[in-house]
Amino acid sequence: MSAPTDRPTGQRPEGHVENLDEDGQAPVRRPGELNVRELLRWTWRQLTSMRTALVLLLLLALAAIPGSLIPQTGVDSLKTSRWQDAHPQLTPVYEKLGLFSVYDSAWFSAIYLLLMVSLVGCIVPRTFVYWRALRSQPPRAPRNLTRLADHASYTTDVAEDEVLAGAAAVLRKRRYRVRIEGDAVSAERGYLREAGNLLFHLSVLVVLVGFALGGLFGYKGGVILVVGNGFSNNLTQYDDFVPGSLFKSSDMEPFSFDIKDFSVDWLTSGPRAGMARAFDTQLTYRESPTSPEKSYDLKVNHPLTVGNTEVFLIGHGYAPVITIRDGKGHKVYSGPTVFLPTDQSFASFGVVKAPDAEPTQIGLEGEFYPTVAFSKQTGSYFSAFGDTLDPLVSMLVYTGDLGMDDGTPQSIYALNKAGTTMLTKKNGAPYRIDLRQGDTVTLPQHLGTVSFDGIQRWNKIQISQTPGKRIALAGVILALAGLLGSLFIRPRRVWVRVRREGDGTLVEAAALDRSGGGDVAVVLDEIVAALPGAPERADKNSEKEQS
Amino acid sequence: MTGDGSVTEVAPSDRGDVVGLTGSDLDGQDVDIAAFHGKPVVVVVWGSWCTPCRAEAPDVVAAANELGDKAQFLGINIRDASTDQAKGFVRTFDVPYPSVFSPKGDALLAFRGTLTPNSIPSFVVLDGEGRVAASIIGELPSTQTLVDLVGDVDTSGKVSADG
Repeated sequence: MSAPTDRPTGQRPEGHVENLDEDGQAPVRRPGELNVRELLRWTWRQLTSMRTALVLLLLLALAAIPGSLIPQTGVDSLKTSRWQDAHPQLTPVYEKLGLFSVYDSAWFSAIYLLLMVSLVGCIVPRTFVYWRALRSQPPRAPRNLTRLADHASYTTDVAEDEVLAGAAAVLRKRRYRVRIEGDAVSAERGYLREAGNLLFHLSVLVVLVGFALGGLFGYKGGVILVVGNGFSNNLTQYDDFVPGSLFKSSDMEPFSFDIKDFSVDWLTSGPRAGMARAFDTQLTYRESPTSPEKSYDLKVNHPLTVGNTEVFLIGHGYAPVITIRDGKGHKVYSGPTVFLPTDQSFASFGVVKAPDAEPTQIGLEGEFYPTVAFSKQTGSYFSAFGDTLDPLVSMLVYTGDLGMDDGTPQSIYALNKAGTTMLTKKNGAPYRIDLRQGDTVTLPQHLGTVSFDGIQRWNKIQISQTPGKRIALAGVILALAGLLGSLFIRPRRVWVRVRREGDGTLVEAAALDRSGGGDVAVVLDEIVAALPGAPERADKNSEKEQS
Repeated sequence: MTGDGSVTEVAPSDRGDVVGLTGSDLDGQDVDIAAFHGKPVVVVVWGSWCTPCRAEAPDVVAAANELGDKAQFLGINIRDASTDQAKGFVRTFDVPYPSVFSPKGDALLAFRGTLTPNSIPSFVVLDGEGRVAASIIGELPSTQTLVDLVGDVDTSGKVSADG
């Protein structure tokens, strides 16, 4: 970085344009004043400096932290809305900062784009420098080879040009780039170190591009599926769906799968007793409607991959099988109903809606307890254990208008109670139905019956398509290769000079490790020992022999 | 996922392959869309849980009744936990046409690469040969929209058959 000149006279930076006023007088500049062009150049140099790139990279890492700590709308919209309900103070602030969708936020994109620009601005000029260095000839031999830290010399009666030719051959065989100039041979190797360095920088760019492609053309979605049911990769089948800004639904791979079976191991002892571990989902899937059916074992951190799309198992829970018959005896609702866990012991919350019940619509809202227990302190049920040792469904009944027929979108996990009335007992207390598996209760006022027929499980599945994934992976691998190259390839220079000395030839050799820290003495010994007419043991680091 | 009710039509020369769709209806009877070749088929994507579907149901049923024998309506019911919910919907709105019961939505993959009904509600109109001719993605603007669209598809098919 050259500091901008603050004197109106003297050296001007290259490309500087005098801004003269109307009289042709150069206006006197205050210290630190820059014209637009200088300011732009200064900004560009700042942006493309290595330091800036590193700072931006660090910022990118920091910026990714809120994305993993704060629930993201794109990952789990339900969890996010719950978190927002629980934190009414923070939510508006976080909304403003875009913390619920970090990776789409303006500031995250800004960091990303600045890093890209910085890297490109850094790489392009350097590429030319590297390119020239790669093609350059070994530098001329220094005048005093003996001044170098690692040098050796000997005298021999082999002719000078023969020694030179021999030295060149020896060095070429050791894969040095060799140049003979006058009385000396210059040799250099390790040019690929520069290439490794360049490859590393380029690869970082490739990784960034790969991730950007995934973010722009990919999508992330989630769905809750009851075990025994299936999914086909169509937009209608997702519970939540966050497409990239350039995503097209025609890019979706036409796969489908069925959840055949699901098992959980519960820990019954030790400090983590009551926790579930080792979930395991058995799938059958087809990559397209006409492909053969295959099976797959889906586990946490063991996703199913179809083309660019990955299917992850990220959660599980219970779906009580509930049947509602209405006042006319019609089965108006049946099947597994997804209840969402509210704690570690899988006490779960859910709603059942029967909008087609007659004489009036029926909505149920309540909890499912896999192992029910009663707390005298709170006077309510809780779940003592996550497995279904003693399951109970406990719900309140709402009748009237569930608000499903006016077209307003509605979550299947929430009841719109605005147009309903809660069923109460004669004394005004809420009418609560507590059902164990197999129970049926007849509702008052000839509304119908509710049965709790069984329990099924559900899986929360996350599906994401990230087209640039392989590009990013290739970038990471290349970056590693480049980094290793720039770390372990030793750039060395070796010079051999011959001089007539009495009736013999004085041979001087020296070596230099340009990366520092390399021990070239050994290397030099080997080379010298191979030179024509070299003594058995080169007389290293000594003044020339008095023969 | 909901659409905005946008209508798309495909010129007869640009229509793709014949859509093949088979499945079971709400009573477990086999349905094959090929049986309806010879007149336009209106495919209705719906679910009893889908509030916009419920809101527009009277308009859709009115269109089906108005078109009568001029077109065949076929529902695709998705994401209902059982046929009971779907049958309740049919009872409530007096739905006159059959529906394929497809809780996992695989029936929709048949339309891939054409005018994918990628939102619920949505409609796809097939011409007399069983090729995708038009679609409405999102809630039905009005009964007339659907009636006119079927009329367009029907006449375009006849023109192409004559010329």
